[in-house]
Amino acid sequence: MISLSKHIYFSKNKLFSNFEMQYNFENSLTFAKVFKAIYKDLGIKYPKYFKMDSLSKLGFLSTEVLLQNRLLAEDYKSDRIGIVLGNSASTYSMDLKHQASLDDKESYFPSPANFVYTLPNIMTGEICIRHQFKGENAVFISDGFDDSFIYKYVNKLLIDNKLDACLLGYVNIDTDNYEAFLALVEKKEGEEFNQNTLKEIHTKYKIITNG
Amino acid sequence: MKSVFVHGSYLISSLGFGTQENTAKLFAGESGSTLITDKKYYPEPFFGSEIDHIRFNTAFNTLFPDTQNSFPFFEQLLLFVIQQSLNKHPIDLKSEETLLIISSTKGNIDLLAAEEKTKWEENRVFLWKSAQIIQDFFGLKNKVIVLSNACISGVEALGIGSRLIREGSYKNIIVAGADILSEFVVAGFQSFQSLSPELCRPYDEGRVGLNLGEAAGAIILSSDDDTSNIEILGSGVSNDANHISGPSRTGDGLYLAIQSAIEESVISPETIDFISGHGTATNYNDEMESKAFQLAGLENTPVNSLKGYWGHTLGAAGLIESIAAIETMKENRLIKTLGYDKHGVSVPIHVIKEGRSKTVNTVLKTASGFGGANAAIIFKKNRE
Repeated sequence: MISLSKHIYFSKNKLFSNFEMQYNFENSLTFAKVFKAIYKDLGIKYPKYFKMDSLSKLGFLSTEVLLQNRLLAEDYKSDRIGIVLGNSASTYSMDLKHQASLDDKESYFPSPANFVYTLPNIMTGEICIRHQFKGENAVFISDGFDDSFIYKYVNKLLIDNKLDACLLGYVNIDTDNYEAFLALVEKKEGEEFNQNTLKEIHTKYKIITNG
Repeated sequence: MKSVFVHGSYLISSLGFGTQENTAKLFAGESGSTLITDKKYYPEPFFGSEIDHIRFNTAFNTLFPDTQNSFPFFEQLLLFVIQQSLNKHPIDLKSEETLLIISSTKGNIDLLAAEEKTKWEENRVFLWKSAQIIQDFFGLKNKVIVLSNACISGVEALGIGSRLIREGSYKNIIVAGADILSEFVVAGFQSFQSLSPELCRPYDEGRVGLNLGEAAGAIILSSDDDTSNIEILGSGVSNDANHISGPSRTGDGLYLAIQSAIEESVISPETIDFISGHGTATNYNDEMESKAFQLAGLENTPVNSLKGYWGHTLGAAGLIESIAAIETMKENRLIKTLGYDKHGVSVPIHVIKEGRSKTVNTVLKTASGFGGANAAIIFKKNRE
């Protein structure tokens, strides 16, 4: 069977893991400060993190919390682990930064270090590098989390025997707001993975984060 | 499990308008790339592939009178290629059994530029917004799906479409993709120093970089086989898990995607008659591809890259190159790799140097891109 083994939610400076609050920062703190505090608290040493744009940082940290103490690539072959995420604003903050380097013709200075982070799938690429996921990967753009399509597609990849495990969800950040919802599904016994469960978990997280 | 058939297609590139016009120029070995001096793309001249905008304006106004000012160029291209692809294979757009999948890397990104910004609402730059507008325009029942997975988007979108048809979720799926030239992208690739100052030379010893291009394409997939003799057998996607902007040195990532597609297609590599490669003409990409083809036991299979004809068109590349691969199967005629002269990758893969006749029944199409992603898809011709 296909089961949903863990989920996390990170928005409005609160981070939950399987509905348990793991971090709760003041609303007034900027996301940059919150990301930094979580990175430090997790005790990660990963210099590449500091080169990432905010979307990649958000996806990276959320995945660290989701997989804490779990080496998925030891449980499954690398090419049997996939990642399928939804996103809305693509890399909007970095897009604005790259565009700003072009708008002033007097100081025209586009940077390759910025430009590479103007694709939303760089975020999934960073996660793949960190956790050695070599299977199917995709980023779908929609206005908010499209639980119905993400469920349908991931389920199909598992049924078509492309994958044994898959990280799925929605990771999005615009200039001020961010939301990350990640779930791990695996071919093993456990809580059944279906569209209603996925939708219910996401909705419940939204309610407790806003409340 | 249903079979997936390829029906109508349409594309616009620097080579021209429509599948026929493009294919004729590909067979003739004509390039659409040239030195572009328009400063709206870059302060200095660069070698690239631009659609004939004047011709497009006229064609768009004829097809959709009095609507042009409502859509930015990227959306106009998508509307146009979708509508034109339907002419060849009419389907019920308003049916619940019809889905549209859009593949693009940057969509309306040109709207971020200072001179465009004031003309449109701020959210028009987002791909989901373009998707909503296109959905409303055609009155589509199902929410339009948008895939943005860098340069593999076109090939991966075809794979996604065929997976959903095989399952029986939809009867008809239009897979449409587009990316346009913009200062955003041209300056970005220039900063990476990955643009060639002249016509790009895929797999060639003297290759120094890629040419950027703009294009749009649409392919209709259907479980209905009335008129089609081309089927999609299987597909696969992988990640190098190695580097975000450079491909794997060993080709193992692309090899995984090819293997995945071959296994799903239940064919043996020897039956593949032709590979439509990615061949961007950057040093690392072409070298990586040659190693992956060798790992897959395909080093003797004829391969081409079409980047010398219409440049690298990012999210549209996999789609328009698949259209060309389908025409190759229909015509039993290989298209030469424009720009290729002296072999320049370490594995002696069989790069097609001269166009020629060959029976082509099974085709592998591949793509690789930023973020370490690779995609492969297999087309099969069932009868002449």
